[in-house]
Amino acid sequence: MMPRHSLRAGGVLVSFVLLVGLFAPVLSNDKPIFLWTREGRVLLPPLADYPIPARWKTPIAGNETLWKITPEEAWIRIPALIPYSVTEIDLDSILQPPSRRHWLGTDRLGRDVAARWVHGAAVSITVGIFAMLISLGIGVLFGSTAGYFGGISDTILSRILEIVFCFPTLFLILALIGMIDSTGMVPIIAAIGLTRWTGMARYVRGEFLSLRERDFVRSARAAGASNARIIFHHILPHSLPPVLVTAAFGVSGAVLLETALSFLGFGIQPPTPSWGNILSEGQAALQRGWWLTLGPAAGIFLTVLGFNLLGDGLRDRLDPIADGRL
Amino acid sequence: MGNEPDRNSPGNGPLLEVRDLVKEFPLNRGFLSRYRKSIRAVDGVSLTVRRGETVGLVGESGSGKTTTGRCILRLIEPTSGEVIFRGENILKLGARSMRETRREIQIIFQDPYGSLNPRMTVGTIVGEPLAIHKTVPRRERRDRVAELLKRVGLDPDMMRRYPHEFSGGQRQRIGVARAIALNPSLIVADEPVSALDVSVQAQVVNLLQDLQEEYGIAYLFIAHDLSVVEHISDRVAVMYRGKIVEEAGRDQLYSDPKHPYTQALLSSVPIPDPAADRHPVLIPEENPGAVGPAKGCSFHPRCPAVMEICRERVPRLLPVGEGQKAACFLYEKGSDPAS
Repeated sequence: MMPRHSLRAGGVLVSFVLLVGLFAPVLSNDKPIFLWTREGRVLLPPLADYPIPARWKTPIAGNETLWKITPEEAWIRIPALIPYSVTEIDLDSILQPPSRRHWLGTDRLGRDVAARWVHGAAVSITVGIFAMLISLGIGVLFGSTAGYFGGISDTILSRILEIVFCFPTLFLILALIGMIDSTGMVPIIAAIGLTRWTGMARYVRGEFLSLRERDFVRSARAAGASNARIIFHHILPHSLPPVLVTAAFGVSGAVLLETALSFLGFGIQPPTPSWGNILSEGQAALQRGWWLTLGPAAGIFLTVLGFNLLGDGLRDRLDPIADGRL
Repeated sequence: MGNEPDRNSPGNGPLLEVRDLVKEFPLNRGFLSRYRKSIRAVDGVSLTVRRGETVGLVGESGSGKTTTGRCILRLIEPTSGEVIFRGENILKLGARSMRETRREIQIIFQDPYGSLNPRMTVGTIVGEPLAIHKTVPRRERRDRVAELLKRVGLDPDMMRRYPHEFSGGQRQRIGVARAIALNPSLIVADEPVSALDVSVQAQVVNLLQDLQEEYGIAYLFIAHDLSVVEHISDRVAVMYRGKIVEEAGRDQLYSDPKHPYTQALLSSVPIPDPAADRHPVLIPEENPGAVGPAKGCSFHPRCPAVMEICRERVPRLLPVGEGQKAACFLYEKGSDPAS
């Protein structure tokens, strides 16, 4: 059956992208990924690239001098699969086509595109997921308040929602980023998350409006249940599955927005790679290096496809009628 | 606990007294519409339920019987009127004291499929009122739920199962177990058997009667036909278009109905005997969604005994005999021709 296929295919694609993102510093690093020095120290240098407090990671990750030791000075020294740093400029090998040394070629500054692709995946997927979580949080809070309490609060919240909804998202984000005046991932995540919750809010509101009128909710009220109990025990569990579906589509939307922003130069700023800004740089050299755009384009395509398939599959799966359980 | 239905109640007044209950629903309320039309689903209903008795509330679809029941439980806020429970107008209670009062008034719903949360186990569903009001310590809750399930004729081992694994009749028993969990003194039974097979209907009605005898629970038993109510009710009120048109003791109502609408309803009750001599009172059908007549008795367009006055004025619910009231000019005329 189709739904099961799309759920599985989406799951595979999404897990692939998530794993690449999560293990980006292990897959691609100029540091060795495993080191056993002659002094007997066992080190996992990629840990240094993860956002962990320094006092915990430094003893295991080691430091610059340790990373630089040659294979002869260590018992075991395993290099990364893609042994390049994302920022390492090599002007001797500019715009080289894919080869054994550089799987996806090099860019105009001689940086390894495969390394940048892997780390760009981490950035893009992080932005996508956290932006979705923000809009999910705001949307669920806003939508459930409007839908559950109804009346005047619903009217006011719905009007606010419509006002936010009226702004073209991309321009609103550009304005927000202009106002925040700082670069890095956090403002991008915030800007995308803060502008894309309206769809979620409307959806949750609708769910609450209809669930509120169900007899089992009335029954809970008649039993003396508090609003909090009714919301968390009776309504939210029923609206959660469709909300998850919307969340899956939300990630792909946020990933697309991030790449669009980075492509335009308002998103993640180089030299930090993201699929959007790799694509943007590649576009400038399109005639001399097709390999620059192929990787990030495929990455975006597969990620968006993956999350959409996952959302589609989840929707069919959670709809008991389509699933043949009822 | 169930043997003291009179706990913390003052005097010998009725358990529940509804006075002039009105519920209006807004119609076509557009954002910019200047006219706020509304429909009166419940139009000045007054009724009394005494301790341990069953009052049947009968009417066709759209007569406002369900709305009346929900207003009594404050699942819907009435537009005006009073709902006096144990001498206290519960419409004036704050949220907290209302929640306390809810222990005493429970509801059984018509639809045994929609009224049980499909994601909760039967044990959680039946135990929820206990959990909310903390009447039973957490550790004893399971035992109490098992006891309740046994009381309504279900196997306590079914506690871990989900509602969809049960038949309609079993689900309604679960609903009954939930309703009696807190030892209420009043249960509003909103067409509790209408959705069930005829064979199962009798079982559930019998169960309700047994529980009444055992715990002294009073019922407001809402139904859409008179046959179900006859078996269980002490008194019966008939509703039409938001108003009570006739109210009487059960035997009186069934042997000597006064209002033409009651007569029509009674003659439509099926008699399980093909040879029986029937004289059905036929009334024209009606679109239940339609708005009633602008003035006069709301039943006059369908009434077989319609008179001139019925098109002009609204009859009042007046005594027409010992313990019997009817809202019809056929009876009001003689007693009170001038007004």
